[in-house]
Amino acid sequence: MTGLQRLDIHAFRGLTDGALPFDGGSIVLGGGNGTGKSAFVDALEFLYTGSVATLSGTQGLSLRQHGPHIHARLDESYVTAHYVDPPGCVTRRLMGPLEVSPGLEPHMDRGARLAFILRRSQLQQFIHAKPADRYRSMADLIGAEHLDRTEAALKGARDALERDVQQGEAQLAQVARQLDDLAEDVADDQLIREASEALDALGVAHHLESVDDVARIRAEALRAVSDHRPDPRQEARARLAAELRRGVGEARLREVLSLYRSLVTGPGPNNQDHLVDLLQLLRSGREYLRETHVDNCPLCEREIAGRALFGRLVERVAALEEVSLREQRLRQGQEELTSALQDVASRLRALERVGPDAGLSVPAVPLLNAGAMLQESARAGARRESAEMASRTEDALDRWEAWSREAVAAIDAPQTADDGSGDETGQIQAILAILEGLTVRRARAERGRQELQRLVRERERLAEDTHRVKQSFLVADGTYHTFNRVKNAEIQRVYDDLRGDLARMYDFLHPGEGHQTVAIAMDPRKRGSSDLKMGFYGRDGEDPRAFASEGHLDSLGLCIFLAFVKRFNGAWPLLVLDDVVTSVDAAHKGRVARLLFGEFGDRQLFITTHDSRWFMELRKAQEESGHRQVHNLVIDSWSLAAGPSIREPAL
Amino acid sequence: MDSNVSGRIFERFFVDLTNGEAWGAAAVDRLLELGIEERPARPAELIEVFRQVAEDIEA
Repeated sequence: MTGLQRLDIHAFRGLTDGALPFDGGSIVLGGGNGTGKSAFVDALEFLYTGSVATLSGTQGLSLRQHGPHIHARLDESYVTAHYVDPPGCVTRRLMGPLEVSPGLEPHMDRGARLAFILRRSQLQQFIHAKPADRYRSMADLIGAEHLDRTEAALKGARDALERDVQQGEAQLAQVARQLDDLAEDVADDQLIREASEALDALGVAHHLESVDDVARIRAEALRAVSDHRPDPRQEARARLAAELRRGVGEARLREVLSLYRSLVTGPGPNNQDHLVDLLQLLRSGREYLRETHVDNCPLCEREIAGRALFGRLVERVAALEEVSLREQRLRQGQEELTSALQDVASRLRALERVGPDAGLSVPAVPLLNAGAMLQESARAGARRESAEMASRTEDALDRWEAWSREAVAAIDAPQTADDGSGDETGQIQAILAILEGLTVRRARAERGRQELQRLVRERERLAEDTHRVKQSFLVADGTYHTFNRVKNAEIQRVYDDLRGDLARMYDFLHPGEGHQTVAIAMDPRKRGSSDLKMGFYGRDGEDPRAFASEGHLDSLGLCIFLAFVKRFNGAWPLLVLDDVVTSVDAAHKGRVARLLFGEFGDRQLFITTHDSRWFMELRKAQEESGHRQVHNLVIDSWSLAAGPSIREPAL
Repeated sequence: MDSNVSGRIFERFFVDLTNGEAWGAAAVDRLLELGIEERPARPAELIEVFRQVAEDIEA
């Protein structure tokens, strides 16, 4: 059997230059936390697998970054193992090819595929992980990765085909709905018959017997529309009515006339030409008397009553100012009157022009004449005459408004003697609408027929495709479930095979402590799921965590691993346990030590521990079992520059 | 990996598939051609295998 003689490590993890002298036997390595014990375990794992489990699968951790010693380059790190039977060595570097002496290839190949290293974190996984994670931990021990990946690929293919089937069926259902939603097909004959009946109902002589007649009938109808001219007189009447409703400015004229008449009939100056001069003279006299208070006339020097004269002047000036203001208002009113009359005249003349076209005579002249005469008298300043003309203009305005209202009513009234042109236009439009409806329905029916054909073809294609995918899915589903069933059954058989070793080793560690059967069970419904079961004082099938202590669970995890090693590793020489017994009490630690050297004493053990009590128990077990080829070593200290300081402890 | 376990699983898988399904023998032939025992196949490769087996059945 190939035996490990020596392990040399350079610039790897916390080791600068380290060596483990196996000499074909075992090593028990004691030392406190952080002294580099696990670095030797990492080196052994790296040697056989090229990886370190604790540096993979976690973001931020990698062998390239964290494998080399912190002061070393990547290309400086290596691990070399020296062997006997066959003699040779193996060197694995962080950079560079694996160097294997001839004859050692089978040993290295087997080492790469076997699980022979147990760390405390893995031990916890056996017990405390969820069933799927526990299965993965155990599958790692079996080396079932290839089987699991095959099973996952079969499941992936099966699920993808199932999705394809579902998608195909959904598409088929959608096409079926589209077919249901298609409008009922309508034949040309039916469309022609319905349109013909509609034309008959209009009383139209049409000769619509086939779709070929539609274009002709439509052309005839359109020609009739183009021949139909609108009545210009009606248009003129409508235009005149609209203008009359808009008015000629009657309201403004009536308001201005009323104001003007009130101004022109009021008191006016006797001599308007001298009014301004007289007012100016009297104001000057008033101011003179206000300032001088004289009692004699400045012209004739006769005595006057100055105060009384001043009072009369004040009254006279006020009266004349009022007259002047009224005159000013009259002039403004006259200007507004002129403007209003001009606007009315302009509108009336426009209406006069429209009248003949509308067949009506617009009686604008009386109002135009009255307005013109009013303007003439106003310009002449003839107040009485102006007042009279304003009154006449108001009368003319009354008559105009009465006529305007009657004319609008007459135009708006329905035509009693209609020429029938409106009915004719409506009928033509109805004919065109019927023909348009016929054309639209026919086009829709044609599109429906084309869509029907397309959907039927699509349904056939989808049905064929879906059938093919379904057949593939049935094959995939059957294949996957067969593989899953066989794999689970075989893994379960492996678990069952372990039961004897597992129970025996656990009994050895915990004799008479109440536990009964210990079993690992595959969940047949799942792809990879393992449950732990234990009987305890008559209660079967319980999760061990329900009743077992932390120390019992640790030793159960260790027994599971050792059972796998015994079942799978055969004559493989190495077994590595990295600080796996921590919560086990002193008595049970002794049993663990005796179990290891009793059951696995034919292998090369590499056991690390920080627990000096267990270190002693391991030495004791070696002596009891007669093992002599064991190096018991202790790490005293560790430094970054020198690495661990190892010595043989005193006996 | 214990090659006995792996070999036993594939052997029983092929036998069960052949005996259990009308198309089983055709599927086993195709899977062996793919080399499923030697390396895990990709789902796309397996879909193609299942499609071919389905075609074989139809034919």
